[in-house]
Amino acid sequence: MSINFVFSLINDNFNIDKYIVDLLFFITFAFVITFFNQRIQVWIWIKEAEGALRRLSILVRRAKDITINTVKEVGRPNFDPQPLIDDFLDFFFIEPVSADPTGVLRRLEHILDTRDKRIEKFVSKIAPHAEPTFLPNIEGLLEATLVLNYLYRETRHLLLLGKRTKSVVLIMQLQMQLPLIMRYANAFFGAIDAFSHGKPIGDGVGALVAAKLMHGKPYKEIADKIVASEFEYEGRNLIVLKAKGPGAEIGKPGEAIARIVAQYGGAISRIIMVDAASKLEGEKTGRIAEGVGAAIGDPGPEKFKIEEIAVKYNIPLDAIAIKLSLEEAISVMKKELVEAAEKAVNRILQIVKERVSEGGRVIIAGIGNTLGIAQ
Amino acid sequence: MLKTRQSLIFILLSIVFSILAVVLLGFGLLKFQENSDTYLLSDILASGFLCLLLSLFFAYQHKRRLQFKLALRYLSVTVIKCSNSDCNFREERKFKRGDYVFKEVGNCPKCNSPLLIESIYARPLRK
Repeated sequence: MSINFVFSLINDNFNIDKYIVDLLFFITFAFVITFFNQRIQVWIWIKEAEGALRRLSILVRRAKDITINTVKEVGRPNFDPQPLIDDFLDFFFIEPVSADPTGVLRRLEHILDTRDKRIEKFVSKIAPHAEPTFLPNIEGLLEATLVLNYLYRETRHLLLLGKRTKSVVLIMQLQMQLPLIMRYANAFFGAIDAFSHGKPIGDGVGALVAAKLMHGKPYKEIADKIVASEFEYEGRNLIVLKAKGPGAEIGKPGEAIARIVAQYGGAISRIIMVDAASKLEGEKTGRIAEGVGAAIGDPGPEKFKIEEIAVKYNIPLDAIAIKLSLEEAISVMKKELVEAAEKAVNRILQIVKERVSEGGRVIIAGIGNTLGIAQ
Repeated sequence: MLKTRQSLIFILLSIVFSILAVVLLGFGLLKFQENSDTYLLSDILASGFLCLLLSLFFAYQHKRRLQFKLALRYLSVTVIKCSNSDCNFREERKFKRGDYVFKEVGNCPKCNSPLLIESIYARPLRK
């Protein structure tokens, strides 16, 4: 039937009217493709970017609403915190000059400390009646909203600049970056839910491992927002440390490790660090990888302190990484990560038995945001 | 509001193009079966297929917009376990604000030992 149909088109269908219509159609098509091809493409890119911008604006608005409602509900301020929060969303910090690298980490630490103190003070001001353990959660909430707001403003800037200058390159670059921008935005919106309710996040898997090890044992605060517990395990002395939970704290683990090492005069057999690490696409969430070095994802100062003290006293540094994606790192912890934490505990105890001789002393540091995880 | 209006436009376009596709394809096939006059038959059938494709495209766009919901796609679950290692009491419930890992939440109904929150995790609502 189909062969007859094709033949019928060729043989019976030759008609001058149809020929003219086909020719007109071809000329119009060729004209459009030749002269408007790039404009059509740019129009499609602009529409895609506008769609993404609309989604971003919805995310920012929702994040802001959740932040304001949480502050009102938990902090019970006797004023409207909205104008203050709106102002805070423009908060920024300037990285120290790196052209002269001498003492750059010390300067960076100072700026980071100043920034943290400013945010802490601001949160205490807008949420005066919040429980002290919930204050860090509001800080995290504000920071996630701040990032979402930044992504929205940056995308809007690039889109408007591209439209204004009619620059194909700018619009094309923006359109190509959109999948990543939206991925970041969705991840930070996931963090809003976690921080507003105090649910553990994926990044806290290292802290969860340490919490599982030190649970039920006496502990004390040894550095800024860091707690440590010292106990015996099969003839070895374990010093387990993590950020003080259940608030969204990270603390200064580098300083804590340096203090412990100095306290024992360098008599530490090993330092084992466990942290969440970003996985490559295709890798399974919760996979445990083992390596050497300081497993900590801070901007630099804490990592530097750990490496420096380890080098000074020649202490081996073991690293355990629990793999997860960016979205999983700042969203509510997945079941795979809870299971991975249990496996990591067993792996650490095995390392202790295999690599630390009896009577030895080992530091185990669970790195990460301890939101929703006590000790 | 804007999102709803756009979504409505897409579904309307999808309906319009499906009607056009049905009319053009139906007319074309009827003419083809009659085998009488095949004048512009190929154009009619091609336009019908084009309308069908456009209808599917707009339906897909509508579906994509529906999928963009801010509602969370997971449920946060709190796992409670008895602190007595000999007791196997374990319970899962919806997360409540104030829950945190290793928080004491009452006594075990089986052995009266303290109940502890063992873990909190996100369970996907659908795969």
